[in-house]
Amino acid sequence: MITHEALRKIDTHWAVQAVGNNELRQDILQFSKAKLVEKAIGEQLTLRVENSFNDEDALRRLAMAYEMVAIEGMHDFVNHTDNDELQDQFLAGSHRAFEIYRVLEIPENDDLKFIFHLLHLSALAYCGDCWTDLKHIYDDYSGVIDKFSPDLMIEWDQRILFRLFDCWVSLFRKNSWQELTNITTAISVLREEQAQYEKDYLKTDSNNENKTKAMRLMSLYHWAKASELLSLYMLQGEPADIKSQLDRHFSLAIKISADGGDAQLEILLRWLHASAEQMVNGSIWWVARTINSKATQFIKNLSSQAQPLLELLPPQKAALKECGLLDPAKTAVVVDMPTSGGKTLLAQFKILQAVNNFGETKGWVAYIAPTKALVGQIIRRLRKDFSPLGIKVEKLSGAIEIDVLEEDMLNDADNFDILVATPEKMQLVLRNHKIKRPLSLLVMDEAHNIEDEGRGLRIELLLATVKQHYQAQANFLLLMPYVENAKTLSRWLAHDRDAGLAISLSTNPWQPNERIVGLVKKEKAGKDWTINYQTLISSPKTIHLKGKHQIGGIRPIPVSQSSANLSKIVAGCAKIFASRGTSVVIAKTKPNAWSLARILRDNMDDLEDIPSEIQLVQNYLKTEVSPEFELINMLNKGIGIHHGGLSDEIKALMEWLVEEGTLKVLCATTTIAQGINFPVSSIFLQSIEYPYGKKMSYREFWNLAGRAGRVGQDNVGVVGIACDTPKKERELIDYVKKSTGNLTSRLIIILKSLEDAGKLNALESMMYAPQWEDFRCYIAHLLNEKKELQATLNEMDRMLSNTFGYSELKNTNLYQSERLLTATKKYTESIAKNMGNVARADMTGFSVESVKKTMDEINKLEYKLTPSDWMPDSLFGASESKLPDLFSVMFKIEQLNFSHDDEQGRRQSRMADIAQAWIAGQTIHEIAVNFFDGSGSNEISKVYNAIYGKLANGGTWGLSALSRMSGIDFDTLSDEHKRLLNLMPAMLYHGVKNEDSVLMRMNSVPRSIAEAVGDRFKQHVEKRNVATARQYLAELNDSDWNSVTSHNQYLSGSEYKKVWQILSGEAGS
Amino acid sequence: MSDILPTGSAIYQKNYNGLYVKGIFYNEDDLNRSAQVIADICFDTSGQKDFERFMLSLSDTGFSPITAVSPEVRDWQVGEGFAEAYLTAHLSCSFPWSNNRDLKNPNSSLTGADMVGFHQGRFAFGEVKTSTEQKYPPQVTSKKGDGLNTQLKKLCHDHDLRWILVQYLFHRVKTSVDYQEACIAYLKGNNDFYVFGVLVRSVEPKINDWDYLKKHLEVHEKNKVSLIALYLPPNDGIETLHACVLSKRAKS
Repeated sequence: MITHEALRKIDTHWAVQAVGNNELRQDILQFSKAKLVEKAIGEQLTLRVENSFNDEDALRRLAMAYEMVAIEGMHDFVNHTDNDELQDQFLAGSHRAFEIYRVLEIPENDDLKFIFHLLHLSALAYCGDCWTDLKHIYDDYSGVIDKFSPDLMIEWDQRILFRLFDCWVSLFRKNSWQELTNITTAISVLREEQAQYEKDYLKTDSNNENKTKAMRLMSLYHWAKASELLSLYMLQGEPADIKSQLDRHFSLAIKISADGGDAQLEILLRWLHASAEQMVNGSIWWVARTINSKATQFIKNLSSQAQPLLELLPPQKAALKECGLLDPAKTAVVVDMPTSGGKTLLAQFKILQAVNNFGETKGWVAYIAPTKALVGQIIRRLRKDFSPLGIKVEKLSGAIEIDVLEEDMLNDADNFDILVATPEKMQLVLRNHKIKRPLSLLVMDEAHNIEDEGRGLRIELLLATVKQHYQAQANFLLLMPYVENAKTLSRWLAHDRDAGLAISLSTNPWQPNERIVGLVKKEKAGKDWTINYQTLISSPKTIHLKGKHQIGGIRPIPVSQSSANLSKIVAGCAKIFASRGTSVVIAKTKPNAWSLARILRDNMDDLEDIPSEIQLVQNYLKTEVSPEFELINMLNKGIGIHHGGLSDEIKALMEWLVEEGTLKVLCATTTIAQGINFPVSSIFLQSIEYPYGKKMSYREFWNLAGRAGRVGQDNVGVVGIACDTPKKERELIDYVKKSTGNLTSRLIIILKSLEDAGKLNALESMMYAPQWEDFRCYIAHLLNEKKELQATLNEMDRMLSNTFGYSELKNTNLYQSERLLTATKKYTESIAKNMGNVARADMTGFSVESVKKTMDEINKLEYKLTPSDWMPDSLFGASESKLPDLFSVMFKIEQLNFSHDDEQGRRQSRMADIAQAWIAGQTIHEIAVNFFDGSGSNEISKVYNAIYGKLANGGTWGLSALSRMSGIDFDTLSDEHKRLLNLMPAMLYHGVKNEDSVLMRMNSVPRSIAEAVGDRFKQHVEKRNVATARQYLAELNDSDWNSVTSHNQYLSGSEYKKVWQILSGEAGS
Repeated sequence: MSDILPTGSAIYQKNYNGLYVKGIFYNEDDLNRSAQVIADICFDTSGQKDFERFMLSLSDTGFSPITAVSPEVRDWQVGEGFAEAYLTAHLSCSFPWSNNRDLKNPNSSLTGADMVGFHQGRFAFGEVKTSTEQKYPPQVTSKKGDGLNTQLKKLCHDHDLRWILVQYLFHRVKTSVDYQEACIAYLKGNNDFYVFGVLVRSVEPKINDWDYLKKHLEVHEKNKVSLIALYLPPNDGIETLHACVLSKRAKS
C-alpha cells in the first residue's frame, strides 16, 4: 500500500524537482485540488481561492514528472523484482500522477484521443490505488462512452480497438456481473469477425504497409486475449496462473507494438499491463485464494452478485496480504483503518477462518457492535453473506438481560455459529458463562469506544473478562478508526508478546474519496445574506483552499438577515448540497433535529415522483406510529429523521432509504456519530457538542466526517460546521487541527483527573462514585468467580492486568497502578463481607451497592412480593399490579438511569402505566395521546424516549434483576411459571404480550402484526424458537402475509413482508 | 570505407525569424562514403526473425494466423537513415534508440516522429521527408495531413504527442544521463526542446524549398527549429543512395 513516506520520497526525484521548487509545486497541487472541487461541487460552491495560480501547463508538467517517476519503477513492479523501493516508487508516482491527470480536460471530440486518454487515466488510477475514484469519472463521461459503437467501424484495427475499449471500460468500472461476462462474448465476436475484416484491412499494395498493419493487428490480438483472461479471472478466479499468462500476452503485445513503431499503443499497453497486474493483486480471488474452502465459497457468492464484489479496497488488500490479518499465530489483531475502508469484510474473513477451525469443538464467534442500530446492520450483512454457506448468525436484543427465548437459543449448540450483540449484552453472556461452547473469536467493531466517557470502561472490562476467562481459546479482532497506538492494544490483548498484531492503515494516504472540511458562516450581503464556506487545515489532510467560498446564492433560506441563525445556515447548506446525494444535518438535540427538518420541509419542493421505497416507509409509519406523524409528510420532500427519539426500526428504515439513494436530507443528532455506518454525500453540523455540552471526541468527529463521500460516487465529500462567533471560529479551527492521538483507557483518564484534583490518596472512597460503577461490578464478578476473598486478593494484580488501563499504568505510572491495586483490594475486602450480595450483583449486572439499595427498597414495601405478582398477566394486566411500586424501587437505582427523566412527580406510576399500555398493544399514537397529551413529534419523541430510552433498558434490566432479588424461591416454581417469569422482560422490551409474539419481534416482524403472525406461527409450528420462527417467516408467501394483515389500512401483506425483509436482512431485501 | 558521414557541401544557411535553414549537397562520392553508416541505421537483421516469432505466437490468442509478406527497405527509410546519420554526425544530435530499427506505422493511433533523441542537452524531435519531385518547394512540405508542415507543427505545439515520445524514449534509456538532462529542461517548461525538419531531395539545391514553411510554420520558441535539406545528385540521387545502402549489410 502506498505510504506517506513513499510519496514524500518521490518528491525528491529529479523529474519532480525539475518542475519547480517546493513552493511552486504546492501551488500546482493546490490548483489541481481547486479544479477537482470546482468540477465536483462547482454547482453548489462558488470557489474564491485566495491564491490565483492557474498555470495549466505547469499542472501538466507536474503530472508528467510524476508519471515519469512511476515509469522508472514500472518494470520492477510488473516483474516483481527484488527492488521494493522502485516498486513503491511506481505506485506512489502513479498515485500522484492520477491526482493531477484527473482534473485535466478529457478530449471528448476525438474518439481515438478519448479512448487512449481514458484508458491511460484509468490505468494510473489502478496503479495508484485510486480506482474507487474512477467510477464517477466514468459516470461523468457515460454519454461519450455509450456512443462508441465498434459495430460501426469498418477499419478492422479500429473495430478491434473500439471493442477492446468497451471491454476495459467494463473491467475498470465493474458495474455488473453481466458487463464483465460480456467481455468473453466480445472477444469471441472479434475472432469470428477476423476472417471478414482482416483481409480487406491488409490489402494495400505495399508489403511494407501490410507488414506494419499486421503487426498492429498481432499486438491487438494479444491484448484481446489478455483482456479475456483478465475478465475470466476477475469473475471466477481462474486460470490460477493468471499472472504468467497476462505477462506473456502483454509482453508480446508491447514488443510487437514497439517493433511496429506504434509508440502510443505501446505506452498504453505498458500501463494496461501494470494495471492488469494491480487488478489481479486486488482481486478477491487472488487475495483470498489460500484461506480455506469456506472463504472460497464466500468469495464465489460475493463475486456472483448482481453488483459483484470482485476487488478489495486498498486497505483491505493491505490488511489481508501485506499485514497478515489471517496469520494463525496472531491471537490479537487490532485493525486501525479509515472510516469506509471496509472493515466489515476483513472481519468476515477472520470469522470464516475461525469457523473453519471450529472442527469438533463447536466453537462460536462473538461479534460486538456498539449500538442496536449497528447490531441490526451487521446481522443483516452477516446473514446475507453467511447463510448460503450454512453459517448460522443470531443476534441478541438490546435489553440488558437474557430472556428465556435467548437462553433457549444460547443453550443449543446447533442454533448459531456467530452471535451479534451490543457490549452490554455480550458482557452478560460472557461473564455468566451462558454459552458452554468455546469462544473462538471475539470481534469488536468501533472498539475506539473504549475511551467513551459513558461506556468506555464497561467495554474495556468486557475485553478484560474475555482475557480472564477465555484467553486460552479465544482470539481477538478489534476494528477501529484513527487510533495511533493500535500496537499497544494488540500487545495487551495477545497471549504473549509476539502474538499481537497491529494493522495500522488509518494514517495511510489512501482515502475512500477526497474530503473538504470547513466552517459555514453567515455572510452579510447588503441587506441580504449568503453562506460563506471556509475550508480548514485538518489533521487527516483534507483539501484546504484558502479563501471565502460561497454555498449557493443569496438568501438560501428565505428569511431576513437577522433571522438567519445556525439552524437556517445548516439547513441552507443541506438544501443546496442535497442535489448531489443525501446530505446529513446534525443538530445538538432531538427538538433541534425536528426544527431543522421543519425548516427544510418549508423550503424544499415535493419530490416529483415519490419513490416506492419512501411510500413503503410512509405506510409503515402510518401503521406503526400514527397517520399524523410529521415525518410522513417530510418524506414527501425526501427529508428523513434519525435520532434516539425514534424506534430502532424507524432508524433502520431511514438508513435503508439513504442506502437506496432516495433521501435528500437526513436530520440527525450528534449521537449519530456513534452509529453511522452508511456513506452520505455531505454532512453539516449545527454543533460538535452532545446535548449536555460535551464535545465530540476528535476520533468521533473524524469517524463521522469520514462518512462524507460515497466510495465511487462522490469524488469530494463535504463537511461543514456552523459557526456564529469569532470565539467559536477559533475553537473550531483548533479542533479540526488536533490529531486523534492514542486511545486511552478510561481508568487512566479517571485516575489522572483524580491525581490532578489531589484526590488520588482518597481513591478508596472515590471508588464509590458513579464513574467507577462498571469497575466495581467487575471486581464483584472477580470475587464471585473466585468465591474466596484471600484467593481473590492474591490474584488481584494479575486479574487487574487484564484491563488495558492497569496494564498500561504498570508500565507508565507505577504510583497510580499501586494506588489502584490497593484501593481495589480494600474495596474487595469490603464487599466480601456479604458474599450473597456479591453473587446477586454478578448475576444481575448490578453493582453490590445497587443490590444493597434494591434489597432495602424492596424490604420497605408494605407487602412481600409473591411469585404471582411477577407473572406477566398480573404485572402488566391486573389493576392490582405491583408494577408502579417496582418502578418506584427502580427509580432509586442510579445504575438503571431513570434519573434524567424530565417529568418528575407522577413519573413512576406513569412509567408503569406506559409499560402496561405498551404491552397491551396500544399504538405509539395512542400512548402519546394518553400519556403525553398530544400526538405531535415532540410527544411521539417522548413516547419513544420512555419506551426505548427507559423501559427497554433500565425497565427490562431492573425488572429482571428485581425478580431475582425479591426473595422468590425459583426452585419452587413450575417450569411454566419460570418460563413466564423469564419472558416478562422480553415482553416489555418488544411491546407484546405472549411468547410467540416475542419470537416474531425478535425476528423483526413489525409490532402491529406480531401477535397475528405469532398466533399463526403457533398454529403451524410445534417446535418454536428463534430459528424456527425465522425459517417460518422466510417461507411465508404474499398471501400468507395478507391473511394476517387484511385488517390493515395502510400496509398490504406484501408490503409488510418487504418491511420485514429490510429489517431482518433476509434475502429479497 | 569510413564510418563517419561526409560533411557534404553547404550551399545555403540562413535564419528566418528564429528558423534556422540550411542546405547541403552530397555528390556521388559522398554518397558512396555515406552508405555504410546509413545501412547500419536502416538494417536490423533480427527484425524478420521476430516477425516470424510474433506470427507463431498468435496460436495462443484464439485468432487465426495472418498472411503478410516481408517487405524490403524503402526509399523513405533510406532517407530517414540518411537524415539521422547527418544530424548525429554534424549537428551534435544523438538518437539512442533509432526509430528506423522500428517500422514506422502509418496506421498508428498517433503518428509519432521519425526521430527522438538529444541535442545540446535537450530533447530533439525530428521529421524527415524524402521527395523526388522537381518542384520548389516540394509538396511534401505543404501537404495536408502528413506533410512536413503538419508534422513539424505538431511537434512544436502538441504536448500530448511529445509526451508520448518522451515516454517512449524513457522506457528505452531510463538511466541515461543525457536523457535526464534533457528531461529536466523539458519539465521546467519554457518550451526547451529542439525540432528538426529534414528534406532529402535529388534536385539542384535551392533555398526556396523552404518557402512554404518559412511562411507558415509557427515555431514554439525562437532558435529551436532547424530545417535541413540534404540534396543528392539531381534526378537519380535517391535511387543511387538506395542501391548503395542495399549493397551494404549491417555490420552486426
